[in-house]
Amino acid sequence: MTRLENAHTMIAEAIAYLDALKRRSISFRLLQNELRVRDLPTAKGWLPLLEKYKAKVSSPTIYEEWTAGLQGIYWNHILYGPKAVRVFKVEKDVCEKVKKLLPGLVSKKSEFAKNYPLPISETELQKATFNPTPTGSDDAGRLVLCAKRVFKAREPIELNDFDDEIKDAFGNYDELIGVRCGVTQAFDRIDVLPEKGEIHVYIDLSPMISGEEITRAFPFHIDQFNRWMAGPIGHPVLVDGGVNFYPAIAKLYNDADGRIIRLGHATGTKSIKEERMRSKLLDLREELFHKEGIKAIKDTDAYSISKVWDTASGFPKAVIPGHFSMAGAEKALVRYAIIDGCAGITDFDMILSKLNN
Amino acid sequence: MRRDQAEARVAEDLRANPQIERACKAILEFAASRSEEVLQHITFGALARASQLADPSLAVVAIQYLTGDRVHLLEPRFEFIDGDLIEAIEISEVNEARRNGTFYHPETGDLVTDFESKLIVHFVLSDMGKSLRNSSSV
Repeated sequence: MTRLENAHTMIAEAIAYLDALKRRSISFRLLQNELRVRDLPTAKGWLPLLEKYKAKVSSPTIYEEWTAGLQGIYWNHILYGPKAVRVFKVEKDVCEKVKKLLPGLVSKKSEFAKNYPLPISETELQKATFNPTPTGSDDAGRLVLCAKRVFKAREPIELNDFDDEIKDAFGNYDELIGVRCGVTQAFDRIDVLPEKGEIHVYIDLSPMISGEEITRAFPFHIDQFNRWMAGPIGHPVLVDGGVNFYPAIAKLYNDADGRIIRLGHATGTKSIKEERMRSKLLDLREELFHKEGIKAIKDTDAYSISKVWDTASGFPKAVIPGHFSMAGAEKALVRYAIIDGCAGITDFDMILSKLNN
Repeated sequence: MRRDQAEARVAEDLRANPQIERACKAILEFAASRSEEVLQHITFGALARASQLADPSLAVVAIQYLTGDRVHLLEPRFEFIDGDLIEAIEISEVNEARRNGTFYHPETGDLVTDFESKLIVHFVLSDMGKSLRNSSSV
């Protein structure tokens, strides 16, 4: 390969990782931070960013550095990007057996395998299966399952783009919003952790999907995994619904660290409050209206919470998305939590430990 | 600047427009009488109510004066609000976007058409505004 062909290949590789990150709707703020930390070029938006990486540079080693850096950011996002998690307690010896079975589950011939860990093209994705397919595994006990997933995007519609007849028909409306169904390649995951006696099921939230869609995605993984394990283990391993995150809501509120940025709680004075701060830098517990309200009525039943912490990469976040029907209920149950805003394993494991202490 | 000095300037500058003069003084009173904690995010609506103007839309004239050089009580702050997202945007970034006609969504990185409709202004007390609160009034 000539130097020119080599350079073109390396540019294509760097752009492939950027395109894949864009398709995953990575937080642009998080991406900018990760690029800066790695001394890679950054920009205000996707258009100028992609232009920078297509530009000519003085030496091929620069392309190699770019590609290596972008590959690292991409793989971190696959593993530690926004996820919904359910945690199952499983006997340690069973976990050990399950962990050894994971490589054998990977399908090297699936439609997702040929490009893995990059996504398949959007054209190929349209024809791909919705069924999560084991596509990769590693020695850490992680099984990555790829699938086609539908997401809904709400976008404003510009009336000026249409002819006069349409404009007249919608002339009374201040704003027009279109709902578009898109498809994305999800990288869900099952982590088998014998040292903890736990199996974690992760639903990829890049891009974000609704609570309803998350709730629908989990049972498929659980049922499928239990079917795979039924033969070699002899019984289902993901049972009893998993850890209940509802008690963690009060703990997160009461633990002094971090900042509460959103809280759903019900009062004895017959109201349901959904409170949030305008900025991740502010703590609801310090906000005057919230403090005085709690002081006045002594106690409320929290049912949902979002909390952030400061780290070098930004503001990793723990979310427990309960419904107000759970507030103070005898059998209050929230089966999944959300981990968001993490750039790498340190942030991710920290948030997991806050949720699953 | 003390409160009485601020009021004197308002009287001098807005003599020809007594309605706006009264509105500015009412806003000065509002800023002096509330605790700083509740003045962290002052909306146009709050200032319009404080102005006691019969036509609240005229409050914009009073607010323009009170963000000016003569009695610099207030400073504008911008938030980009898109759906559930609220993101503080520096004035320098707003000015650059208005100059270039381009603004990139802070979370998605996409170009935002009609970004002006998503840039929402509110106000905070300037340093002068904070010191005016601490000064004695006439």
